[in-house]
Amino acid sequence: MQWKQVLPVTLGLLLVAAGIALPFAGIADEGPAPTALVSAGIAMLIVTMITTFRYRDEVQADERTKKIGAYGITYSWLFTLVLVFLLFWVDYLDLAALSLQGVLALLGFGMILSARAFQWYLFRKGDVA
Amino acid sequence: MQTRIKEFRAKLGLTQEDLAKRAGVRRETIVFLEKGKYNPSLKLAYRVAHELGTTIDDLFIFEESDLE
Repeated sequence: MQWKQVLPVTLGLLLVAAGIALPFAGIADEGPAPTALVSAGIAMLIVTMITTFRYRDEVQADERTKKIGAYGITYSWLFTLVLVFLLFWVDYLDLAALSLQGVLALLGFGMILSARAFQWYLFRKGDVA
Repeated sequence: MQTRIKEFRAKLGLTQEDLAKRAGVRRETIVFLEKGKYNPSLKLAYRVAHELGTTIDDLFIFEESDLE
């Protein structure tokens, strides 16, 4: 097992262990936190296994994919910045009642989904230029 | 930008997969290089040219409009 696999496998196992341990430790007996942690950990382990076995003999990243990956994250960062300004004005003008948890969830999902969307678009296009 | 990668690759009887493995890139990168949709770094251009037994000048065709 290479370093690229060790990190996500360790993190996945830690997430699963944390999800199982939380109710026993009395930290989060109720609510979605333990389930979310276990689900995230299992998802991480499955994705790592699939990428390890399916793309075993292939180059997983070259200069093109690394470049697209970096640009996708950059565009996502800019998108999130615009989203933050929009949320500010929504709150300032009292257009909607925003909770802290809701805003954080929106920003988190916004960053992840927009990064994947930009990367998907750039991969289809072939290059960032 | 146009390339003669496909032509040189055919002469050597290499598949896109073979060339990708030799150059240390993904097959999709060779696909986009052949279509002229990806501008490679000098290092990758040299590596591909080297694997095809030719030079960068012979492999990649730049026109004035590509430089604008």
